[in-house]
Amino acid sequence: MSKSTLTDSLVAAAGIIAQEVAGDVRMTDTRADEAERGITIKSTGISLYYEMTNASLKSFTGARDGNETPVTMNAFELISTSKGLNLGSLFEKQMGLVKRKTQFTSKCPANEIVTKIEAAAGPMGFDVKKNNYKMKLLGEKSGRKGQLPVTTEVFQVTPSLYMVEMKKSRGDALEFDKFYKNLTTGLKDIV
Amino acid sequence: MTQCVDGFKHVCNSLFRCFDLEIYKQSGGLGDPELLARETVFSVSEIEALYELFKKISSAVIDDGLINKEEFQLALFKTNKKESLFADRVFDLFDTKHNGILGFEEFARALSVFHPNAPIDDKIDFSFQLYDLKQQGFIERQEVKQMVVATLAESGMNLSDEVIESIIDKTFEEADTKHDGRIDKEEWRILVLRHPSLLKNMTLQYLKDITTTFPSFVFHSQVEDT
Repeated sequence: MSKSTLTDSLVAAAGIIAQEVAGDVRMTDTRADEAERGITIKSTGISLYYEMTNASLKSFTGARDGNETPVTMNAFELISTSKGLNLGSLFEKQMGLVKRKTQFTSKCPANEIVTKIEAAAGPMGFDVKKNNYKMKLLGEKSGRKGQLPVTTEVFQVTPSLYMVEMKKSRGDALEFDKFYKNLTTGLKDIV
Repeated sequence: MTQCVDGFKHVCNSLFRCFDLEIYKQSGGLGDPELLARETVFSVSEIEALYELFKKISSAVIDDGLINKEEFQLALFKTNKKESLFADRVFDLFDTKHNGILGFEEFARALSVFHPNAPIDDKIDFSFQLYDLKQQGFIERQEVKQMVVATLAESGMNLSDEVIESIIDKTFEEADTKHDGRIDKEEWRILVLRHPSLLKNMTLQYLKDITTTFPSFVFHSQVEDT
């Protein structure tokens, strides 16, 4: 089977052309003059639509278009947030360190949480970048250890309860603590 | 006459010092840092730094060079009044000698699994044993429920039994591929590899910086100067 016929078959399988004409049609480029000259395409972009079966959809972990809800926590993720399982505090306590990450829950809908965080962080001098339900806040002021980057993620525990996790990737832990305290006063109504 | 007594005193002192060293080792001293370094992912200096942390934790209630359950809870929660299902499980897993106390060796070996460089298989094994409350080799639905309820209680979140059941249902749907109502080691492994965030509390970044945060003084070092 030649490559033109193969292309036809693929396109037929996607339901764009009828199976019967695959092999005769010989997909040509979109340019009319090329079609006239019978030049078949070496390569061009085309969208093939494949309908995912329900089973494969369930296990699909990639980005979904149109799925605008935050990641749902499974039981083990929930369990792993408990203090007893986070041995970091063994170190934090002894070193007098302030936490590098923190979390709180809210009954507000997820998108409201995101807007409220944005609204509170903006005036504090943070630049906010959003990606679905993950946010990156970058402190514009340079602190002791440079700018303070904070990542925030909203998880769904149940459709009416969400958990917001905030952690700092670099920067001064004390500044993070200050930031978090200031933020929570601004978010008092949703926490 | 006085020279004799002095000499005798001197001998006694040396003897006592020797004796102390013996006791020191047995009751939970540093032991052999090079051996520990060989058998864990820590370097010798990391072991020594870890020992500084160990000393702080183990002297909180009884200064005996060992961590008992109370001192462990104190270190974890800032209060020794907190009964925690999870702290109990963690302590039990650390306590490989099953004598109710943690010596430095047990402490270091267990924490080695939490080092960022530790092999992921060790983390998978440790976490499986952690969640396998009854230690029967399976994580049962009832055990998951117990842990979810404990987590919610700890954080003050209030969810109805129905909601909890549905969270567990969804989790088992995905994890229990053999459909036998429980999660075995293999199913756990597959679940965790698909959701690496499930292992996030099995890695402590702090362990990487431990030599700078717990500097141990030069004369403690048993590394030989050649």
